[in-house]
Amino acid sequence: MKDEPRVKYPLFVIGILLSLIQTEASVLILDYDSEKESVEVTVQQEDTSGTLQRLEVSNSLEDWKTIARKYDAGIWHGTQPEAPTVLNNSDSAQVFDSKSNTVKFYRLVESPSAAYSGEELISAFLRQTTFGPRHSDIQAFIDNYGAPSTEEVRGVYEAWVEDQINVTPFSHRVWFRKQSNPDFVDQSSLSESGRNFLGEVGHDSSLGHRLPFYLNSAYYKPNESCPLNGHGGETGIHVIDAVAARPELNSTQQAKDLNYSENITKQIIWFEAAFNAEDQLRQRMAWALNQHFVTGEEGSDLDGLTERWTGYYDIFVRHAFGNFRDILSEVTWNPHMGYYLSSLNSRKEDLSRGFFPDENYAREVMQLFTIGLWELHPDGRLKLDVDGYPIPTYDNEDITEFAKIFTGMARATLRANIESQGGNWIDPMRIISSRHDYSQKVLLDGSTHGPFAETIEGAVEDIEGFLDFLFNHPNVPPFFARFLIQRFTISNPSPQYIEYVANAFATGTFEGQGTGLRGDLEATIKAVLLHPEARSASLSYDPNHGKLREPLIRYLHVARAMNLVSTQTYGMFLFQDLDDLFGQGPYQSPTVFNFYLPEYQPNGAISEADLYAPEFQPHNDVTGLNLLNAIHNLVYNGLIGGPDNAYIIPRWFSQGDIDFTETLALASSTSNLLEHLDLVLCAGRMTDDTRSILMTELEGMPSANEEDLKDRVRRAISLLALTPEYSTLY
Amino acid sequence: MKPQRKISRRRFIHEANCAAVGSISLFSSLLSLRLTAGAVSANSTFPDYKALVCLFLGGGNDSFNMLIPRQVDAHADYVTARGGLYNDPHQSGGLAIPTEELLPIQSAGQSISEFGLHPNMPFLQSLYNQGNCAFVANVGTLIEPTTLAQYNSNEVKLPAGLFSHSDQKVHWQTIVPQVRGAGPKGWAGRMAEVMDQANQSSSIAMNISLSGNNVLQSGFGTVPYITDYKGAVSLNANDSDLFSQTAVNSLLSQHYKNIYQKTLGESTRKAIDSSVAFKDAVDPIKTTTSFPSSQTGKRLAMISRIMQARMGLGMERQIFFIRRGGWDHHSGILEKQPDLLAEVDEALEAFWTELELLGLQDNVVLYTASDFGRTLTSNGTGSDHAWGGNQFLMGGGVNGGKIYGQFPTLLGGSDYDLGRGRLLPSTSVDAYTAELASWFGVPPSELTTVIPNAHNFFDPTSNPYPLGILNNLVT
Repeated sequence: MKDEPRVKYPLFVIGILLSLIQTEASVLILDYDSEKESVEVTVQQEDTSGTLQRLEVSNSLEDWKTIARKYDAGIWHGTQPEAPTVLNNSDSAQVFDSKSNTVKFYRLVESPSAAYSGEELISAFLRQTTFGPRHSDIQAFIDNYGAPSTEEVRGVYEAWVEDQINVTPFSHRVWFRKQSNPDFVDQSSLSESGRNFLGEVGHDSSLGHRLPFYLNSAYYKPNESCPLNGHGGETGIHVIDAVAARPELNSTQQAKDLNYSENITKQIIWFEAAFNAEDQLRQRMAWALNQHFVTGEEGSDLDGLTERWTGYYDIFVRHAFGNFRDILSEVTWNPHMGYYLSSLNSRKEDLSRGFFPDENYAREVMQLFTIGLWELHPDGRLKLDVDGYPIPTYDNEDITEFAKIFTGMARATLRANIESQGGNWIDPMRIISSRHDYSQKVLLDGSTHGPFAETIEGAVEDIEGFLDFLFNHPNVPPFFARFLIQRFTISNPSPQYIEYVANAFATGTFEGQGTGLRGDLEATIKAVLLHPEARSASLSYDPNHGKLREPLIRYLHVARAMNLVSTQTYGMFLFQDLDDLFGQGPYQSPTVFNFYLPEYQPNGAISEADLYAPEFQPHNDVTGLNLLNAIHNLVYNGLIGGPDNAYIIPRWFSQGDIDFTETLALASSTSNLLEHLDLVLCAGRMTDDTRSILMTELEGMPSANEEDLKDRVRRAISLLALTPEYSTLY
Repeated sequence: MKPQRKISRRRFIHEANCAAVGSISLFSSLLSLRLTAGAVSANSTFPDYKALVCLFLGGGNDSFNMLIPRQVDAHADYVTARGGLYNDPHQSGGLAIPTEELLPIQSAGQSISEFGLHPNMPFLQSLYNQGNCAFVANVGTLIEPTTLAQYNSNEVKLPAGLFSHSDQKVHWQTIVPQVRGAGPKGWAGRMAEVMDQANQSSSIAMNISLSGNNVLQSGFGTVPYITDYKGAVSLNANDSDLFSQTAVNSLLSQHYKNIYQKTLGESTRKAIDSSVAFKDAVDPIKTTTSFPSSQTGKRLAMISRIMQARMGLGMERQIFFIRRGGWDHHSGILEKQPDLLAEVDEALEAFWTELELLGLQDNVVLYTASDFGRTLTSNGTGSDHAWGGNQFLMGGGVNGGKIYGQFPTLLGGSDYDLGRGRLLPSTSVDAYTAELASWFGVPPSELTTVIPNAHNFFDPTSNPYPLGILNNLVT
């Protein structure tokens, strides 16, 4: 950004003013009509194409906060947190600010036009929608769709989204089954009530036994300790062959290549998807949904039962652009969730002994998965009662009532052709009728539900009927809309943005297109990504606009942009305990409340503005620096373990190398190198100061040979990784 | 459904301005905090080092299986409430522990004298019997004293979001449960700001967390320094190719307008600066005692090192925070809770041994907190979210060997039973906290800054130790 925003005029404030002083910079209100409900500020309607105008208020003339804004072809609207009402007329707009007992000053601020190239706009888009763009991704976007214009909101972006939706999904369960148990057979086309055959493909003998698996209580590693005939399995690649495939490794390293903690296998698959899968938007959506319907190693069990975890994760891969209602149902019946939130084996009350149904799932399915704690307007604002109180969606009596619904659920009987340690964690839970509470329940709106026929079908009707009730609750669209917006684009969406996304969810259509069914996630994600608030470059001048990127994505973006290539025997990525290192890792949410809450407020400017920034919750003195060190370590040493805090993988030799081909070709010109990195890593947001600091730094380094130039690249990236331009979306 | 009386921030401030019952002092004391910051130390000295350690049992400890009535009739009530003995050969699903397995302790001042601890807490039993450990019974978050009748008739204000993890754990930390969320800041954060001149020469915050960000230690203008059990993390300390210090400094000196960028830049800079001072002081120090390698053990080991480094850090007052999660035992409680209690007991034993070696046992108080207590009734293999629960404190300054507050009868239908064995707290977190804050050095005149609702429960001026646990001051 080259230019500073400038303050401009004129403003009109309506009310009976005792005194009004206009200075060059502001309108000062010393008092106003106490009969009025609010302060009414009038701003002129002007052409803001390519720019942003903000109305700011202050009571000190020092700290200014934005209360309303207009940008591009839009209209004036209130901004978070208070989002005051705005009335737009053809030549002016009235902003109704809240009253207070202090002096208030208002000023209008106009930003310069945001000048970003088409490539930079694409990079910004791909930073929202993938695990981090490579330069080649930006190039491919231009080749296939062309470059967007500055004010483009749908156009090429929508075309890319459409194509992403049609990319063949990367199934985590499929990837596991193809290269684990050689006895797995293909049942993926079967369909049977009470069975989950989705992704139940057979073993691929050309891949051999590359991933460890359980069969009953035995654990089959893909190395010499495997109890199957021949090291590494009966078929396919054996450890001995693998050694031959990597002659540079000694046998100790080779053995370590294939020997890792059992909880890592599912993470290997997750990283494969994040690094290499073509369906990046689907994988990002699955990752977001998994952060909504959370399970994690802490609080679960059988960490090494990979098919159980990937089978659960695949719900989100499959339905990423499907329907929310289907996810709600699959999650509810999934035994992995049943264990995590203990609906599994919950029974109807037994008054003779004072036993009651487990309340866990009944509570969290409402608080976290569907309706939240407080009644919401369609635009996400809290509904208030006549006394100004927010209205709770439920109370504890409702919890005890609905706990009765999630009773009688038990694991399906064990069957062949699934990974198992003795139990069935793949198929949906079944009903044991004698344990289900079939009685009539009273729902949140006072309507009754049941009683139900005392059959398996009756219990299913009870549970699914209640899920229908929750799904149709008016809170679901705005509640889920804000969640999804926060995962992809910004932390503090305006009510208009929330309502736009909520409306797509509720109507099942995006700009007239879609299934027309409530809960359509294709329409919903399009609304998230293709709303002006997600796309406008002008908003980069709004100081409250944007978000901190997830730490895992910040790490992965560097790795992807630098074309990290695995050197592990089978080309896999073995990270470990990233949650412990920098606060986030796949399958590692500390509780069902995810890595962060939607309403987390870090101390300082964000808290003072009463705004939210979820990703700051796991960010602290330890994790913040661990992340920077991990990125530094990656670019200097490859994917390698180190002592204590730099210990990102369980290895002391590199299992992944950075590819310098692209950057080395540029490194002889520092300005070209920085331009490249600015585009790929920062979407063109690098500040002039950052650029000049890096110029000075790199120019002061030797450049005699290739290794010197590599060092310049390494230094540049590890320094860029700590800049706010890289770390935030805005 | 009962009509609810949840209070938004807006409502709360409005009520406070109108001097509504129970909130008279609240808003004004929060508002005046910045003005009074440091006021304590202007007239005081801190001759004796003190440290407070919060061990937060995340998820809601089922604490009526940690501290249990042992006296015959009371134990029988306990067994009934918990759906039978866990090892009853005739029926499964009971959660009660039989008398013979309990580790016996006694307490004066309760309706019964015989109690027992969970069999996996032998160290706590011995510490209790030595007089260095005390329990507080049925303590929980309240806005004002509340009876069952008042609860049922909505005559009193109740904490917002009762029985929910995300609300109640925050209320334990803000002790302003009429407000949802962390807006009022944590009481240890507020306390550190009142006493901020105690550590005049330190560049490290008085509040130090071993478990990441938390509400408890966040004040209006301060945040905790965060480290982990491995010690200080500095920018690329483990590599030969160091970051360029000049470039890092220059990059982080930029002024960003965007609030996310500004917050990130400032926090990164603070992390780098603090880590240097912290590392120098703490890294050379090792523990004498061998600590267990458990989550709790590793963190308490680091805490004892930081305590030992207090001179090097220039600190007279330290507040530590550890969160040990995993206590949300809706199921599998009989397998999982005993392991966690054993982990805590073993870690505390090592910690106490180290404190004695360092001669710091009288200068340190460790206390427990948790989201909430759990239902006495069983759901078959576990228990659900409830309210009042039992907590303990340890330290040489504790008037130990006693259970404070009122240990309730556990039989269903009691004056505290909200149904399902969800107990209405009989002691407020405010009273529990007052003991800790007064011991730590907050004078009665400043107590309402730390405990805004104090007046609803006790007179902070005349009665700064409302329970009498920590009033034998070490001098």
